Amino acid sequence: MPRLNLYQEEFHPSPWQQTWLAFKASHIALAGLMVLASISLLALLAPVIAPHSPLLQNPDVLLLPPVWDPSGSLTYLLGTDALGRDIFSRLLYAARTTLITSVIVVVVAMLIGVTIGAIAGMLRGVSSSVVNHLLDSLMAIPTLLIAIVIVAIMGSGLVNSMWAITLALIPQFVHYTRNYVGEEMKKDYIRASQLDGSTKRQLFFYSILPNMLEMLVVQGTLALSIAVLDISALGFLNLGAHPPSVELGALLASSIDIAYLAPWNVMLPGLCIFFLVLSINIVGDGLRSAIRKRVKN
Amino acid sequence: MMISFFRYGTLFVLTLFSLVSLSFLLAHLFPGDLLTNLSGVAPKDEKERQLLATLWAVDQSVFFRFFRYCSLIFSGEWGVSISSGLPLYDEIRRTLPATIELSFYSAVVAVVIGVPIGCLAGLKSYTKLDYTINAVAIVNYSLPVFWLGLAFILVFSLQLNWLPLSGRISLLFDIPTVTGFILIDILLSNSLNKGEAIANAIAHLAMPVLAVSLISGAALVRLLRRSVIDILDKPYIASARSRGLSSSRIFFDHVLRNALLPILPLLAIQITTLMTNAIIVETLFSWPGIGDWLLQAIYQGDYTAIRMGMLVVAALIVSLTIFVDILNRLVDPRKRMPTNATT
Amino acid sequence: MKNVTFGIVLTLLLLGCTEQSDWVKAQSAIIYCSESDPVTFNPQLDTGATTSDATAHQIYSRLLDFDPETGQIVPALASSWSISNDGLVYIFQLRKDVNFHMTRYFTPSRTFNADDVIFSFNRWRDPAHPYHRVSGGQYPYFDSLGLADNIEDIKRINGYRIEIHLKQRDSSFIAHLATDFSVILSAEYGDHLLSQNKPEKIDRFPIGTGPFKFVSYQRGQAIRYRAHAGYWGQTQTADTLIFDITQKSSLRMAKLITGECDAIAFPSQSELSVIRERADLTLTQQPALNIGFWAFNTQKPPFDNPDVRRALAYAIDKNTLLETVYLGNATRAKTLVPSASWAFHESSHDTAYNPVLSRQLLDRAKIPRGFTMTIWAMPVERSYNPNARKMAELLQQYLADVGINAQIITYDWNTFREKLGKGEHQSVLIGWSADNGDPDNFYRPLLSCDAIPSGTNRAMWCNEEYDRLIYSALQTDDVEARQAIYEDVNELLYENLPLIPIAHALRYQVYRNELKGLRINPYGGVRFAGVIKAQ
Repeated sequence: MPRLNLYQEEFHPSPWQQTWLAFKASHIALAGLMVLASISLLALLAPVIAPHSPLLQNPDVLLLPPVWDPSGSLTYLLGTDALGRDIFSRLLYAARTTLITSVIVVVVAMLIGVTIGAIAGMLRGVSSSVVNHLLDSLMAIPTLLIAIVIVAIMGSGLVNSMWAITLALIPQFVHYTRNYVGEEMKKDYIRASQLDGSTKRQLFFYSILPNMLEMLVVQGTLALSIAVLDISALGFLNLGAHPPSVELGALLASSIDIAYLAPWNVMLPGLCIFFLVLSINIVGDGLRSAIRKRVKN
Repeated sequence: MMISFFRYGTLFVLTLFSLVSLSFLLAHLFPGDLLTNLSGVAPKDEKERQLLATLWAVDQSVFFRFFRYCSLIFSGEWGVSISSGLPLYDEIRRTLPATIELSFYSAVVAVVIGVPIGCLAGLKSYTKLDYTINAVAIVNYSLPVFWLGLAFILVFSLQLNWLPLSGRISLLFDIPTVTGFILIDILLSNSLNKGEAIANAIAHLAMPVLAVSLISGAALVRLLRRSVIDILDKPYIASARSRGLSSSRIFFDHVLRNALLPILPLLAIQITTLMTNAIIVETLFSWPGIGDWLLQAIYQGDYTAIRMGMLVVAALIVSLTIFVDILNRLVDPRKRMPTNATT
Repeated sequence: MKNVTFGIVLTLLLLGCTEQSDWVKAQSAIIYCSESDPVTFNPQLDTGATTSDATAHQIYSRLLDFDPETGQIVPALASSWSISNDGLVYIFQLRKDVNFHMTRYFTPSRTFNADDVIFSFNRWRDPAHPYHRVSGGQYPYFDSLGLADNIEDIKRINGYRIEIHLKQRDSSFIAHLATDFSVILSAEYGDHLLSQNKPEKIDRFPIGTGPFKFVSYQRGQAIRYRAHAGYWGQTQTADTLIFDITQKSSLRMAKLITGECDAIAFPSQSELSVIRERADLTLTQQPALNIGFWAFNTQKPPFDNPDVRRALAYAIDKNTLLETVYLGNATRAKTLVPSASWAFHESSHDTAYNPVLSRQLLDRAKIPRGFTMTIWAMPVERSYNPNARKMAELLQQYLADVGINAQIITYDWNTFREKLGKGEHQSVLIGWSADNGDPDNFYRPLLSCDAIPSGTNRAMWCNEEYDRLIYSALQTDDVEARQAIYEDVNELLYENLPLIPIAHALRYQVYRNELKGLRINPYGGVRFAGVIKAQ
């Protein structure tokens, strides 16, 4: 007797769904995603959640320790800083600033980088080689140096540091897009489309781009973790956001002076950056493994 | 072979040229008077202004000015720092070796730690050991370097009092500067207290190097692990095994070289991350390197210093990356130009 | 072959043994963490505390000194002195057998005598002196007091006796000779440099008679000194003194804790509680003669309007500033002088916190809401203001409450002072530490007309009545008469408010227990003579 097939149709998950299923299978990756989602949610909802204004100075409660310390209080969950500002609220707003600016930086860098990379990838001949080498050497300049130059020309500030990091991230996207497009151009299905008479633009948007999205997502998460680290590093060096706006790295820098008196002032922003970057990295890792598993099968 | 060297030579010259042009452009973009930005001196009277203007060709066409700029740069006349008035060549000559020393030792430690552990993780992939190593690596990799450095200072310096937290060596040792690399300078100098000095210098190096190398090392571990896993799947490994080669033979002769090759290009990105981290660490540990110097320059609005410092550091890094590229080309048999075979 | 090799090795070893060492590790050294680079190595040229600390009591000596315990004026290079009855002639007998430093750049051929005193005084006094224009020609302390105008002549009676003739009686004159700035230079060194046509080296490679001689200076890094073997003071001193230049106060404290520094400059208020708790660190404190204030640039409108200044004074709550910035380690300031000075009056008026009144006054003076102004904040700690940045942030808040948008501006310390000197500021948070116990040392350098070009009058304020009053206070030695005059001065200041006095701070000295003999000098820079480190 033939086996009863209860299913009317077979379930063929799309590549995206395959990736998601493989991603879900890893507990760690999922945990990372949960952490990332919760941090992002908390950060984005900062104006709603934060119990106090991050700028409100209350001279009566200077350097209050966090709530788990005997002298802490519930009104100031994570304690206060040297000017009497609530650390919890400041952390939320700072995380918000860091996260939003990092995402913007990555998106802009991706758009510009992919455009340049696509054009470079579809070029041929000597010009391609020259462009390739030039771009490769551009990739070699550290973010910090670019940031210093931009800050020197335009002054310090959050927006200027964002420009610096965008400029630093673009070469990476260019490099990977160029490689990918270069590889794809050699493949048969592109040939087929070309024979069909599609223009370069149509080739890119309809044939290459959909395949590239996965690579872009992975590169994007990588770039996001770099962006968060770089933005907080620039804030730490006082080249980025300055008062009254709050940013995680700048928060850390302003607390160094009282690191001995109030170590939580220094530990907490750092912990926040760490968890943010860690969760982004874990998610990125998980995505990469998931894609690899899908490609293997 | 010669052709590729020629190509790289041209590339190097071209990149250097574009960097110099960029720095020339920066002198015009920075706020303030052009002459001050080029020479570093705010001329006090007309005579001084005339002198400087002729030297830097300010009153002439852009092309001539650029030509003059290039010749001045290459002859070592780099102007003076706006804030300290000291010649930039001397300042950079003093601070650059400190950064190179820090970066170099961090790179060495990162490789010494990262490569063996990465290979181990790759060989024993998907085992408990591998998971532990991977977890530690990803944690290290996600640490912001300034936070790690701060943690080191709080624990090792302030709490345990084991290690000093600032400078390259205790001020009690006044080592004459020969090369700028402190360990070499100590060895070259002549004194009864050499041993003490070396121990002291290493104690000062310990935390900054550790902070930077832990992060870069973690990156290396991940890269190498992935590479080794990919290699182990290759058919020639299976064939080597089937031929009965011992595992250590397989590893050292076949796996190691082939695993290291694909990551050489990725090393270029690692070098820049390493240098960025080194510069950040310099400010934490008061390490008198070029990163700290550049940051001070920015806080003081010292445009000449920023411009020249940028040029030097960028030139250095670009040369390093080209060098890694050349190395890659030399070592990787796949990339070698196909030679004409004759039977 | 073996013998030859052996011979070569032996020779090399022997050569190694007989060669001189390039360097030795410094023995019995004291490392002091200072907060900034000195502007110059001659305190005549600069009134900054950093320059004084680095040079005044290390490299140089003066004719007279202040006893740090009692504040009395005691002999130094002048072994005795007398004043004529009309107060116009001062006669000084000079000490014999005082040696100048012998360094690798200069060897003195004689001991100290009257020529050196005349050289040192005439340099700042006489515009025709060959060294007057050297290194800028600005002598801020002396210029702000107009001392050069009051000295008729300095006569050399013999090799060890000089006379100073004044034009007008000045009861504070003798005190000026004991300040950090009245150092004695070497005339022989001056001549030597002139003959080499390198006169500016006198302020960069200094020669003095102090307990330490200058060895080397690495900008932003360190200043090195060696003990002066022939020092006339003959106290037991450390062999090597090193100033480790560390700009952040938290880093200085960290280095003190790890032992990389033996003593530090200007601990910030928040660090004091940490230091008190630690058993291996010593903290000494003393009420000090200083004042922290918020000065307005009265040459820039609208700050030339006293009503605007008064409005801004009402807008801030001084008590909060005292608690938050000074952490309670200071007293509220009503006038320029603190309670430790005899010119202090308990009954002096003070402004109170009244934001409503402030807004009214601003409206009356036609200052709209949203008016922007700048507050310049010092980047360094000083005893009179341990954290100007923080104070500026607090002021920002208070001003925002009355509708004023304040921006905080800062630069690195030397650039900051340069720009202040040019009058680029609208208002500044800064202060003053007195150099001697005479109240004139507050009133004249801070607000007199003469003090504007010399840079110590941050309010750029020039008021004839004020100048007249403070000069009249110098015409009599009668303390009560002078007190009455200073009371009038205080009233004048309260009506005009060119600056808002904020606090008088305590002065601290922090060092590791191993240092013996380090004392607070309330009248000047830190002194390392007689300080040794127990092993």
